[in-house]
Amino acid sequence: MSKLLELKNIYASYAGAKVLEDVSIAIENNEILGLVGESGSGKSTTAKVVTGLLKPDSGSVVFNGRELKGKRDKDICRRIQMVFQNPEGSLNPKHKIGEILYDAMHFHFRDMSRDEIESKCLSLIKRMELPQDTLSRYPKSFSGGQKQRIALARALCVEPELLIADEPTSSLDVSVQLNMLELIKELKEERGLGILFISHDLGVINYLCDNVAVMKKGRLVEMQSKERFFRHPETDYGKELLDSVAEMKK
Amino acid sequence: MAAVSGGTMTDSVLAIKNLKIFSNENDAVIVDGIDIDIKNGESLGIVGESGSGKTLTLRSLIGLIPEGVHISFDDKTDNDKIAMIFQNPVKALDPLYPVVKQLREVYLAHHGALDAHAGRKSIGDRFMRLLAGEGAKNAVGRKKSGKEAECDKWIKSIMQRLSLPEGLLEEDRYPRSLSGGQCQRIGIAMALACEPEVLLCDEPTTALDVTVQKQTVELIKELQSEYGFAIVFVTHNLAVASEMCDRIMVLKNGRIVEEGKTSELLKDPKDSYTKMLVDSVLTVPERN
Repeated sequence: MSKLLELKNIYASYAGAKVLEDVSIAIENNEILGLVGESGSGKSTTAKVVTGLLKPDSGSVVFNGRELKGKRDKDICRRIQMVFQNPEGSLNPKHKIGEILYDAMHFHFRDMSRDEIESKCLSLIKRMELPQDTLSRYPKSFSGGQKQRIALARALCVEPELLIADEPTSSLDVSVQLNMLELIKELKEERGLGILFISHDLGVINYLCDNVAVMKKGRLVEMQSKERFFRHPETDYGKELLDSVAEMKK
Repeated sequence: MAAVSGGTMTDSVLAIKNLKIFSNENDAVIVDGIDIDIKNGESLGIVGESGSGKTLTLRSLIGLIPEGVHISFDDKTDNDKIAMIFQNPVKALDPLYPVVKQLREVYLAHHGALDAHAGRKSIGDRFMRLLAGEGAKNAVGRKKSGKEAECDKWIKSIMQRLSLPEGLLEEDRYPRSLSGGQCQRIGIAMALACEPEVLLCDEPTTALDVTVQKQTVELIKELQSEYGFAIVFVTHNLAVASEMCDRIMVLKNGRIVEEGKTSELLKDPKDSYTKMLVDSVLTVPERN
């Protein structure tokens, strides 16, 4: 079976400044790949290349065995969805949640009737453990954790195959974070999603991911299974990161 | 270091009894009757989730109360030797003023030597001085006062101690051109310039990368043992609190749900909320 997503030897830059150098990663269906690294290491830029928001200078993005070049068609856009760090910034404050979800679904599923979309929305918010009246409320009336669930619902309502999550829990409280991570894990199993999960929190990566890729200064320094990475990091940088995690001293 | 004594609270450096914080809008109680008593040289962690009132509690200890709330308390030991460091180190500094100059200003102000020449000059000030014929004196080679020479010496040593780039002394830079970790160390240096007996820390490592976080926590701990100040450390991260603090206070909805020695509280949390917080901490497995 071919991989869901493969990045091959990606080089990318912003206005001449090199930000990614020779980055290659791969994700399969039903797999969560954790992308870790410090600020400025190129994690979010990698996500931008995957979503098509940034065109790489060289290298290829292969999705389901097909290389993505030039302008992406609507179907590819639907199949790759993203959730951002800041839930406030990713929901239109002047639209009710119902509209936000309806617009996304109506755009991608032209043939679907309004009733059908509505019933799908209702079952989705129920799955996300959101309050029943969610669809008729505005984003500002929700807590940070609820907003992030709504953002997740918006990404999943168009039935993507690949989800990119850019630090989706780092603005949340620890207990809320744990619930959200549990939910992401379950949804992965239910839908067979491939997830690229970006985080600088190694505790989160350990809880959630199947495989780990470590980036430093625009380069991929190591990529291996979670079990191996946390027990035997291959590189000094991987060790340094693990040593920096604050431990609970009991 | 001489502890401030205040009646019954002998070796406490800072204490407040029955602190309450209200919203101005509807008089809703945000913080409801918190007692804090910080002993000389100890470190107290205040832990809680968003909205628990931990930052407001900390800010009321130093009198930096945001607009829109007012406070009341029964009793407070006053101590003017309190300094604070903030969550967002870049924003805590003046963006239009180079960092060493800011540090110098704090030192001189604290040592009572901030005169019109060393301080910030408005255009009006400068104009008035020009009129008074002081322009030339101000421009070059004004002789440094004793305090200023002392300040230079102190800045040099503290920058070395905090591993800040020495190049800053020759060529001062603006906060935006330093990293978050460097800005936080400038903030720490400013706090030390005040020779504090209590250092208030409002999530000082949350905005930093993990490796820098670790360095900063260790630096604060080292400085504490060198200078002997007490610390009040606000964080939502129990793991960081466990590394940093002797005593932990858990806040929920403006009330203390549990308080105790760090090791005991984490090993055997009595309150279900504390237990939930402890269980929510995601750790990494031991390496072999």
